[in-house]
Amino acid sequence: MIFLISLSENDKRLIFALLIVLILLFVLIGYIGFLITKVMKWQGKKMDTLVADPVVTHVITKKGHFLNYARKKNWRLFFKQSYVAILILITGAATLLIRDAVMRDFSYNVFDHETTGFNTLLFLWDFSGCIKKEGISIVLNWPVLINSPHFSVDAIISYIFMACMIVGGLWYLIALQSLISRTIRMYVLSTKAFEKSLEGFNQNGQYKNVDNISTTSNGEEK
Amino acid sequence: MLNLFKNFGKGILYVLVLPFLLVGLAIYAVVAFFVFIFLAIKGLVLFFTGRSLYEDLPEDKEAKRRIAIANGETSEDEMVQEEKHDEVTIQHDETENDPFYVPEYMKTEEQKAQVEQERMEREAAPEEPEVNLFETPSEPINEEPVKEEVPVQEEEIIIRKSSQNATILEINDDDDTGDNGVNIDFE
Repeated sequence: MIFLISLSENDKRLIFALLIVLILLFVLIGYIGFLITKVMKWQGKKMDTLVADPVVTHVITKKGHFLNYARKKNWRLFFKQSYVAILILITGAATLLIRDAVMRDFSYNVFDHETTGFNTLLFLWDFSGCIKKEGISIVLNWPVLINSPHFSVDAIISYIFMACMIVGGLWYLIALQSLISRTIRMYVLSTKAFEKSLEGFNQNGQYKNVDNISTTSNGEEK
Repeated sequence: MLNLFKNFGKGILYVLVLPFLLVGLAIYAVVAFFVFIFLAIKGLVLFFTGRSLYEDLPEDKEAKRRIAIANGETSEDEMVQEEKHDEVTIQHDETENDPFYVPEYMKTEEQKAQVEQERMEREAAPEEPEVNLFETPSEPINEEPVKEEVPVQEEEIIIRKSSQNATILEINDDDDTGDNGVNIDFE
């Protein structure tokens, strides 16, 4: 047999390690997904609290009526949970717009790393020169550090804008996740609460237990 | 070990489905934002009409009523009375159209004494029933006329048979009305 690729011991160990890392990565993603599913189930239980009273007291007796009522309650709760997040997002956007309108400069770069952007607070590397091909060999270099965290007075509006966007965005996403969880629970309950099942029901249940039937001396059943 | 492989499989599944989930999430986020704007406008309109976006729906009110009755906290009649009391009634101030109205703190001692005397006279005198000349008693509609009971007179009915097999019906009517009305049931 002709081997096109010959692997040294180090190469084999590297491949094996990469495989282990890949498996562990997928396992980690699986656990994260399991965690998200569990949190969504816990968030969906809120729907039970919202719709319990009318369903238990038989005010709502039909699936369509239930879905209509539950949808209204669901959106109202979403509004209640998310209006603060929306206000924060609007505050951040309004701050940036007011700054641009006052200074009459709409070229303000929020993501600049030198003077006016939020990236002035972050470590930034240049990965463009990491992999170089020289002839038949590939040369790997470390990325170049292009920015260390530093505070810039010109970038205050960017800091406020990005802080509002991050906080408001995360808050809104959590409220949205709750909304989706409750919607899923709503459809599950609409089927479960109003389904009619004849599982285990036997109309002729009186003949199930033979011991109860006894006969008289004439052979007639009592 | 089995759980590890299960989670590994779930991880692969989540990675494959993730782009579709993200697209669905983005669409839902945009739709939710528009619904939020609609609810915000609705909330503002309701606020200026004196209502709230979070007020109980009719189903909630009915459920609360049934729960209260089931718990014995209140009877059905009391709930109806409470709802009537909760209704806001606007009472017009009698003084708003009176050009000679004087507030209590501006009245002199003589005026106060006069008001007190009028109040005592009003309490002592019996109230006369108010007669509204513009109202006419409404006639009952679709009332069935009262049937007068007519005493049934017993009439002597004498049946004689003629010699030629003919049956003659003679009626002795004691009253002078000349009414020979006899109900004969032809069966």
